[in-house]
Amino acid sequence: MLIQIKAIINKYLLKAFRDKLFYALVIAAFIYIYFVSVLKFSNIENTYQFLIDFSISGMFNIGVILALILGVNEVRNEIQTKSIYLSLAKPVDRFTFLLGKLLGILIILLSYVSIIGIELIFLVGKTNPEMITNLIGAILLVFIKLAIISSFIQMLSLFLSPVLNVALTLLISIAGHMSMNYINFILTESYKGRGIFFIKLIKFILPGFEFFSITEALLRFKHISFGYYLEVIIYGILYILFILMISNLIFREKNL
Amino acid sequence: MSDCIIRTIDLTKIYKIKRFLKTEKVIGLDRLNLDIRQGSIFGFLGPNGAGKTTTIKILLGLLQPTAGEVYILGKDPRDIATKARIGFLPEMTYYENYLKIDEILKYYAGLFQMDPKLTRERIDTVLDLVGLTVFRKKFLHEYSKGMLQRLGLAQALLNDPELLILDEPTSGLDPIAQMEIREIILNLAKEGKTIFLSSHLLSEVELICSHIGILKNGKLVKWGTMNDLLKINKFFEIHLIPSDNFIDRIKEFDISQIPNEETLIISTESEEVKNNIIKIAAETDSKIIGIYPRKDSLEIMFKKLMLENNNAYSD
Repeated sequence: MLIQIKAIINKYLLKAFRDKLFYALVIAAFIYIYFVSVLKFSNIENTYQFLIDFSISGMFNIGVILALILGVNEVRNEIQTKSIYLSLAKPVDRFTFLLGKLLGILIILLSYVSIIGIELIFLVGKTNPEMITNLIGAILLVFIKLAIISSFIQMLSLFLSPVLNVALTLLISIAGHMSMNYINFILTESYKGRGIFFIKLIKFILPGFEFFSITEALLRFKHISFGYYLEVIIYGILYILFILMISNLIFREKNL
Repeated sequence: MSDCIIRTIDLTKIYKIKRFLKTEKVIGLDRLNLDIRQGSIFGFLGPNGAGKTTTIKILLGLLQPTAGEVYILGKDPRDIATKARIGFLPEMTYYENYLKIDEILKYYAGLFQMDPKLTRERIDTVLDLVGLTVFRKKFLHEYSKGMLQRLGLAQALLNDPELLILDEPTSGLDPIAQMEIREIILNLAKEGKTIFLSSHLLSEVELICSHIGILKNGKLVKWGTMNDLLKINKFFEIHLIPSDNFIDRIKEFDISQIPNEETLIISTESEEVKNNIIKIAAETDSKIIGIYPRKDSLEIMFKKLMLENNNAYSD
């Protein structure tokens, strides 16, 4: 199985690195963060807040675009062009095929996050070295968020058109960032209907991206424990596995 | 039973096509029974939409049948270990243009879990076999359709399979390349490999297949060895130069007549009619050039079968 996963990843990476779009997006993100860093505000605190806020969110947003470009058509295209017949006629499990594709996407996203992350650490770290630990943590959590988004994109690509996939992914991303307290506040202020339970249930099922946002702590130089990072990372990995299992159930029964 | 490579029992596939508020059922395969033995070259024929691709997809475990049973090398087609013993060449395949031949074959070798040494050996062997060795470092977008078809055959042979499922293997190839591919297929059969060949090129099937099955509207309407099936359709051809009243005398017979300049070619399946025609020719001073026992070509038999009962296939 490992040889098969390696083969699928290798092929995917060859495609991604020969596709100039990847480089274009990395360069765009690089330039974006550089411009954010050169903007100066009246006081140093505002300047850092702006830099951290916009860099982390920019890194995530461009990462979502990259994940969509990488994932929205990946399995779908193979089904439409029938090249999937050649792969699945070989002794490869459908789960292995999905896992290999997802890992390929995650390696690309990790490369992207690493390149941009190093730039950000360099820009912030030269004047604020005490921020670096939390900044690395924040960048790692951005990657985990992108990994969750990618697993969603892959799952949705098995049964939705690319347009619907993009729309739903963006919706999941936005809803995932809302905290439960915020949802409770909206519900108590504006909605008294019977659907409250279901809205809360949907929020519970959707990924809790609010746990991944540590910008506030970063700006206030708060210490974030290793345990917190570990919990959030484990939550992210389990969430990805959960989505991957659902994808496998859909894909296993799919007539090609 | 032990040498039975492909066996289907009442294999049925019904597609459900959703149309607004209704779901329409379309029969893809209707109780298909196949029994393909080791070492045979089985030609699988049928017009477009007859169910050939559906059958191949089920044999490869890509599609679930609605009913019936299917065994490939004695196992379920979805069995992963069984797939390692099968080679498959689809009719038309899109290959990723950003890859080189070496890279795509390494990918497939990886799916077969081959180690690097075996991968190198097998890639060298199959590229040599299909004549692509000198092009191995080229990107796939630089390839002609014929070269891609050769690549398809190369990847199908990568695992040295016991069963080879080929869907239109010579599609897009020039006549020389078609002959080369036919030669390869015949050699593979000599090595004891079983070939399942789906093709529209009836002359090709007639040349290389030991057995055939003809599918029509999802049903197997004819199957057996090539020799037996073509023997069934024996007929006589009488070539003669007719006299004036010969034509009037033979009107009563159910025969086919093809005028060819001053000669007439008469075909009949009946020995009795043949004898009567000869007798009339002698009586009317018609000159018989020759009497030839013939058997239908696969092409004629196929066309007759397709025209039987309905006009679903007429070109």
